Amino acid sequence: MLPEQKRAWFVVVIIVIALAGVAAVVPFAGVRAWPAVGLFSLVGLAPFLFRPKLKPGEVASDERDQKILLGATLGGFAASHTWFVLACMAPWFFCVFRGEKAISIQVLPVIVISDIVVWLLTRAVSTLVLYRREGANGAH
Amino acid sequence: MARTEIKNEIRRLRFDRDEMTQEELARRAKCTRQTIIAIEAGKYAPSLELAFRIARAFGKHIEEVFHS
Repeated sequence: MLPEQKRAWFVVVIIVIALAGVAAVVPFAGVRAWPAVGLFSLVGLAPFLFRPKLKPGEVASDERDQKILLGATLGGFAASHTWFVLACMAPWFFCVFRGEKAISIQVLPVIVISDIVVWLLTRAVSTLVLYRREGANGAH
Repeated sequence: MARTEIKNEIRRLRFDRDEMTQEELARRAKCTRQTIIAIEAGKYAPSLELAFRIARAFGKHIEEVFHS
């Protein structure tokens, strides 16, 4: 498995654990549980983990990896953009149908953080799918 | 637009070179072993630059390694 695949798996696992953690705590603790969202920050460790041990003359990544990562990044951007626009619409609909004059201050960080999570998760899953589709999934 | 399928002789050429390993070919062509596996299996069409490097690794002309 290439380093990029390991990093993608790491991101997927961290996000799933963080989502499960937040979903488990928020119903009981409410607003006080929001610091659990900080679990998502562990994703930031991904670039520093799984550094390849290269033999002389060996390369860590090449044009195929770049093509896959570009596709995954574009997929992540498309999902993130769609999510962000829809999430920004939600408060308006909420105000119109419920007759509210204002929205909670908690809505903005939820929109931003969820958008980042959507981007990271889509990019990681796309990376894994594209590597599988391109074949050569053999152990390194 | 119809896609042109690119075939290659990498497996045979590796065999002719005393079973050159995919790792050795990857090292010579400056790409990853996974890319060599994908090209051999016909799942990835290399760029012209990489195709030239692979051909050079075998000491062949590009058309002797890749063809449609």
